Amino acid sequence: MTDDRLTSKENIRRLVDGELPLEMVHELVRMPSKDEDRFWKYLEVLQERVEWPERILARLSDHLYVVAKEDGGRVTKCDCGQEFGDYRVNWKLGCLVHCRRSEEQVREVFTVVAPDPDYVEVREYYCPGCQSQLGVEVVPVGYPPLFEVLPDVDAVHELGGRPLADADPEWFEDRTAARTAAWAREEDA
Amino acid sequence: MATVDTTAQAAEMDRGGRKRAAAGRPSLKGADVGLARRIEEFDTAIRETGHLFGIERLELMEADPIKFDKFQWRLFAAVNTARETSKYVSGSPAAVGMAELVDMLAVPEGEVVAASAGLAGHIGSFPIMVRKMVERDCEENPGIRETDIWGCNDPRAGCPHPTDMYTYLPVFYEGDLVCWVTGANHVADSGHAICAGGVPIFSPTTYCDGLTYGPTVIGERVDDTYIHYEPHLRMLAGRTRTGSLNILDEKMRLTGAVMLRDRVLEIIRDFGLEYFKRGLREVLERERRAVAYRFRNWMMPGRYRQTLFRPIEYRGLMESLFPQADRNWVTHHNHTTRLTPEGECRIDLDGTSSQDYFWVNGYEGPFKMGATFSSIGFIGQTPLVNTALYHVLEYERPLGSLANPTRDDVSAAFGNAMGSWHGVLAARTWGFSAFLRGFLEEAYLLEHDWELFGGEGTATEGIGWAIGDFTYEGGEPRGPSSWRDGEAMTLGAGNPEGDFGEAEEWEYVEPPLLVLSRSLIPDYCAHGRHRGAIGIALTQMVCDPGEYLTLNACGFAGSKMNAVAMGVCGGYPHLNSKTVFFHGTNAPQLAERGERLPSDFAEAKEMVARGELEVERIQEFGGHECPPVLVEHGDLVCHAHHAGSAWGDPIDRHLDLVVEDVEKGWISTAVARGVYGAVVERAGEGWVGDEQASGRERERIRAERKRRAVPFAELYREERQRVLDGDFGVAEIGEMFRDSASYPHWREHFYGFWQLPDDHEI
Amino acid sequence: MSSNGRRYQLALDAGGTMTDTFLVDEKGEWALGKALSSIGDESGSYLESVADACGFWGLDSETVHAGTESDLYTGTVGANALLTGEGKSVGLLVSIGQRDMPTLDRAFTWLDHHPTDLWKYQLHEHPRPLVERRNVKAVTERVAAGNYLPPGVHYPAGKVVIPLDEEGVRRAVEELLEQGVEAIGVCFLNSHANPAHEHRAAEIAREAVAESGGDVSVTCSVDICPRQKENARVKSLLVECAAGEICRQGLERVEGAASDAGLRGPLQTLVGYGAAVDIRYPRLYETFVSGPVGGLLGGKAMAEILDLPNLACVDLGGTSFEVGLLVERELSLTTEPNFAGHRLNMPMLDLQSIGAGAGTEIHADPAMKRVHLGPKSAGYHVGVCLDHPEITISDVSVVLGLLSPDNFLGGKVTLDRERAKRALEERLAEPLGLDLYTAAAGVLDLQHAMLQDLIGDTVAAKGYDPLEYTILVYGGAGPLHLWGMEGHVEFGGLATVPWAAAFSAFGAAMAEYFHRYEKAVNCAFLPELSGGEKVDLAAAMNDAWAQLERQAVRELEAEGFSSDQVTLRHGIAARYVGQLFSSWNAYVDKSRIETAADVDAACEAFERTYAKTYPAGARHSEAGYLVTGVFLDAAVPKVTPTIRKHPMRERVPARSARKGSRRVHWGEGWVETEVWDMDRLESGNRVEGPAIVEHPMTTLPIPAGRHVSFDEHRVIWYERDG
Repeated sequence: MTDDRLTSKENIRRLVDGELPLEMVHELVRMPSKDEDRFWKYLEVLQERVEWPERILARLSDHLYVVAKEDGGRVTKCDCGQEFGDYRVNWKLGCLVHCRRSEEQVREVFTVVAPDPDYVEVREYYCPGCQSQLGVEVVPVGYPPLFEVLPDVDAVHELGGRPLADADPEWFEDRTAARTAAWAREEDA
Repeated sequence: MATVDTTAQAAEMDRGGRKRAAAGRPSLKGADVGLARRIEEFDTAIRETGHLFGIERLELMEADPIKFDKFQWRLFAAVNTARETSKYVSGSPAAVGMAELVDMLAVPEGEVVAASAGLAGHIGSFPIMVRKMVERDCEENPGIRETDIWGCNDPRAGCPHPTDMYTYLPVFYEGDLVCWVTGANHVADSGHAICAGGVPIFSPTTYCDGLTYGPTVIGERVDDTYIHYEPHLRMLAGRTRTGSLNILDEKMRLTGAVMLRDRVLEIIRDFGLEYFKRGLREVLERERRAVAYRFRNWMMPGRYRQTLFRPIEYRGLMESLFPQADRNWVTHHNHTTRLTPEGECRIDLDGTSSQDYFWVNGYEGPFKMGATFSSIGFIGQTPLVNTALYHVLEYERPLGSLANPTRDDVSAAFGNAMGSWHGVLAARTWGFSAFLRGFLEEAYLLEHDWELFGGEGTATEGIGWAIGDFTYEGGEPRGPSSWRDGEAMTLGAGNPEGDFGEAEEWEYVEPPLLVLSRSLIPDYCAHGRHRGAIGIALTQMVCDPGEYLTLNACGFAGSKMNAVAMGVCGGYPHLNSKTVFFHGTNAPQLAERGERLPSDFAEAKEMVARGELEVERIQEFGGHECPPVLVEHGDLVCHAHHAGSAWGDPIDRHLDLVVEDVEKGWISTAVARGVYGAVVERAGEGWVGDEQASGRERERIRAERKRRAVPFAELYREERQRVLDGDFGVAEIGEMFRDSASYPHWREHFYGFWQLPDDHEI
Repeated sequence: MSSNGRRYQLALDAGGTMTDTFLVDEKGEWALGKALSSIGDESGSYLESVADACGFWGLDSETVHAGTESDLYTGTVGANALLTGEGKSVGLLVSIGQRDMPTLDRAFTWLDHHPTDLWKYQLHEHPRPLVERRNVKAVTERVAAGNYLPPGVHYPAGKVVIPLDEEGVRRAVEELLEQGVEAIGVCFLNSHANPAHEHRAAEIAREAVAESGGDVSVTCSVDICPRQKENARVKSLLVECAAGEICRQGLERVEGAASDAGLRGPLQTLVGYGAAVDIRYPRLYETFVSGPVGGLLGGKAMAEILDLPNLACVDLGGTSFEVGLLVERELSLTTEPNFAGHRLNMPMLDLQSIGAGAGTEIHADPAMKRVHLGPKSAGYHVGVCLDHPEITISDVSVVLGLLSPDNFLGGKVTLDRERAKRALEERLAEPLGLDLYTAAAGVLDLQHAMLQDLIGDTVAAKGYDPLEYTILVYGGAGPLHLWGMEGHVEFGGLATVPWAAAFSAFGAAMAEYFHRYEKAVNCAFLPELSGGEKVDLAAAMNDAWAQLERQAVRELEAEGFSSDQVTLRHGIAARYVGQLFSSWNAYVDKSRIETAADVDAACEAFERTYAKTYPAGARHSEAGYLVTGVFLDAAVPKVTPTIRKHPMRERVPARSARKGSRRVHWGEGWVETEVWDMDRLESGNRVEGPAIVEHPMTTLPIPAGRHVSFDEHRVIWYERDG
């Protein structure tokens, strides 16, 4: 039978696709306490849109997800299939990156009013697989890339009443410095 | 019903009044209101039980939820009626035109239970103000009496900035302090030494902050009439540039507070004193739970990083007068959020730059007021705007940083601006977080891109200019979501009833500034799958300013570094704002000949380049970097603001949306092709997008990206070397890093990422 | 069909759903009629509704029309054309740099927001612009606004700062015509201070239209709305251009139908500032927001009849709850009424409104045990008890027995009490953990608290004493909730009338026939000015009045009146120097300012109005007075109905008036309650609570400890016992 509630999975899909009529979005906004199973419907909708088999544990951005690998690992994966390794490492470290450092380069994307390349560089992070632009930073040279989100994956599944079998506090530890340490060792060697 | 008498006879009654009051004044100390004790008990209760006032069971609510909602509704109606009515008393554009005022009801401990619409961000300040009264021993001297009228505008005592003035009354019932009622508003000018119109961004020391007064008794109730002390009114009038307006505003604040007091007494009569006292507390505890509920159920637990930078440029300007401030800074505003599964939100600002001789030192009150604006829309969504959220949302503000100053000599002229920056970072984090959890209807990027400009001068003997323009404060953009674009002029995030006023009325109060345009600037937005709101131009031609006129501006964003440092999901962040002065133009002659005039700075520059517009000198400033600039007849003043941030990769944008933008004239075909990879062409009256050609264009862009990009590891090696060499380009950026690294969490993060030896000195 | 020798007056109020008729004869006997509004051609529902009323007296429509002296129809024609997007495609000329004015829309994205929506920033969106951006063209030109400074310090109001680029106007108009616009509007900044540029641009536009051989009207903002505030003025202009003509044609169809039925005179309609006008009135956009006006005029009429200076007029319908004040027999005007989320620039009778009608939706939040009333409403879908998906206040009234399922809209529909019960149980009682009737009664109590606050605040917020005010309740659901309006604030009295359900139509019938004209001026009477200087300054006001008088006579003569039938009332709009963004209207005694004393008299007139509205703290005489505009009311005679007096009968109603009894839940449990027939209750009768008084169109509950008595006009007074 079809689910005719405002918060049906079909409506969540339309919301994700930007196809839900505005009037209905307004009703969602006005809901005092929202549907408890939203996260699960959301994951189902997202899972149906990707071609690869791994289970999506969480969303990281328009294109990126945390997925469970058969070997028990949890990695960042792009909808194009590209993998970025352990999600506890800032995925930007697995990207192709382009820095706009000249006035001319900056003005290509910041039209009309642009930042000053003497103060900042514009970092564009691309997926090595599909070249989608995954992130943009406008920061001074030497500023560590912003680790946008380290999700507490175990916790969100626990909150939804479906705890993960391999739950472990270690899944919520930033491992970025371990990766850079390796690079630094190569460099210093 | 008590009245406010401020008519011509006021002074008369005032004198008589004070005689009578003096006679009936037993000692300096008023009733024992036990503020210190109450606040201590309040803090202990939340620390030990996790509940406000230690309330585990919401007894009144559980006993009769509907009566409880009725009680809440009564409080709601009370604060809003007070504001709606009192605003008409004011004479200042901000108050009447844009309702830049707020009325609040707070428990004795200072926690705000209900705030009206309007500048509800002020709830962040009031609790601090009450705690400062305790610290300053106001209970002992002068004492807190039932008949007092209190006033305050000192940032060190909790107020946002000197331009926001508070007038508040203690409400007693049967001899006991049962609550506070407050009226607050943004006045047109508060006498800043360097900048007029309440935009004091050139303020190196606290002695430039203008007229400031800590918690002070500014009048009293005699019989049933509230009367301001004349000396206070004279001070407001005499030490500011907009004397009579400030007196009207003071009358307005008091009128609102008195109306609110009357209403409160009525509610106490209807519900009973015990219900009222307990009711206020249960409202706060229920709202605390509601806020935690939203964090826990709508957002993705985890750790989030955000940041932004603000250059401050005093070098050359302060040289001889304030040598200690004659330098430039790049201030770093670090913002790391931890959303716990329990529904707490802890925001760590460690790494934020240190306090110094500039305008933006944010004491607790100013900081929280600035931060609260942006919070309400996300987590404080209730008609009863209140401070419960500050017992779920916790800011860790490192001591000695500009987010928690310890010195008394630095300026606090506009610390709330800095609070607003962090408020925006927090709101963007929450919007993104709701997106990750699947609540896309709550997922949008907040832009609190306020902008003010002020001015002062003399038209002719005895007639001055005093300008505080709110055009840009009154209408801010709504940011984009993962499913729709940003939209221009949709709200004032600081005031949900956005309103940027009528050009005809601004001209009426700013005669020397003739409006040449208030229009959208093509291509002026951050680009993305869902683009930011198109930015807006306000262009004015200076007409016969008389003896002299100077203008200065102050805003959310600067010019050199973007308003926020990070875009979302591959979209670009919020663009910078600008104020551009074209001095000595031939615009009046062009006008005389009915020839074309520019509608924004970009068009003006093109016209200059093409020789269509003659100009002697061009001065450009970022939103908050514009000192008072002398303008003359025929000068063009071009403001550009509100170019909102984007969401997602521009080449993922639906072709139809790009076509629509081109049709409206908001995006040029060049940008459509170059940034969006969308090929849009004229077709008779309208425009069409070429599917195939666009597909090819987007493939080309992907290939181009692949060609020019490098693996991140390469960038790592390069920038690590520059960090080791201290090669950061501009000197103040090196100083910024050195300063930030003196804070432990940031030092660990920074040194860890770049793998710097512990003994390394930046 | 010829007249039966009797004389009648007809007034119809056409809402989005129902068209109400108030029919009254020369003796003051009245009858009500209702019909479903037919959108599109409204002549159908006009005739049906009139026939319904005639049927009450067993008369036919022709007989009544033949004897009708005055026929007024206030309706939805123009509004509908706009809301359903059937308006004309408009081209707009604006001043340099103002092309985005309709898009930016002064950041008004919240005008119709319910308080609970205000802080949800995602809900802040601009309404669809009334004009396509490609159809807006900016023209180089600028005139000065004038200012608050003494004369001579800066540019005078209306000084040409940038001359009109006539070539530019021609180009723009040609482009607009190519783009196929059906009407052209011209709105330049500060045209109220100097209309020359607008008029010249219109001239050029008309030439271009003529050359193109098309039929495109050209309208100047200053000609239909000569007031400051361009954002609201441009809305007025766009509404007039897009729908003015369509509205007139609609009214002409209704007039046609009425004439065919035998009506001799012209059809009249109602304008927002509360006047009856011929449907040939030139500024029809002023009729678009006349919805609540009829009710307020009805209130004004009742105040005269009952000799009460101060009234709170309370209209409770399916969707909204509105309160307007009559202060010392005067209704006050607002200058920027909302129209479907757009803020127009026109004088409109002032009132406060919240979405707390009988159809207000109820949402219970189980997580926070919180009840949300609104923001949405079932309107005429009533609730689950009829065919609305969400539970509403009306469901509560039905379940508590206050509203009989068989007495809604004269029994035209039957309500389903059982379905309402089940829905309230599931969606209200269970989530809150309360029993059904406690929850239902509680919600009704909460709703009533909101009504009490809006009434109380509207009066108290202006510094008035509620005891000096009588609450007059009307609207379909007004009597049903009247008992809930007696609250924590003590008022002078609480009353309703048997014709409450068609009260707006009644008020329309009572409307005076006049035109209001306004013109902006800028006269700052500063304290330091000498008497002579003040008089010189006032010349601008005299010129403006003279101009308005000429226009008034011209227009009224066109409507078939002779100039000696016209009575003039002069007034000013003023504020204190230093105040901004709003002015207050006041009538003045003299039609010209000739002496310094006249100036002072005018300023005092303003101050009296101002003091009526705001507390002492708001006064600021020492700053001087700024007259921002003058206005003129030009009135002509019009017959209005008399409400007849009835002989006073004894206190105890005739048994024949008793319909029976039913169980009603009044908050504390069930009480067997007598039910009375309103039409059979007479002057002098008194009905003791607990009781329900029913009329085919409405229901009036009276709890224990209260009673109602019918006075000589059959006005129903709600009183406490003892």
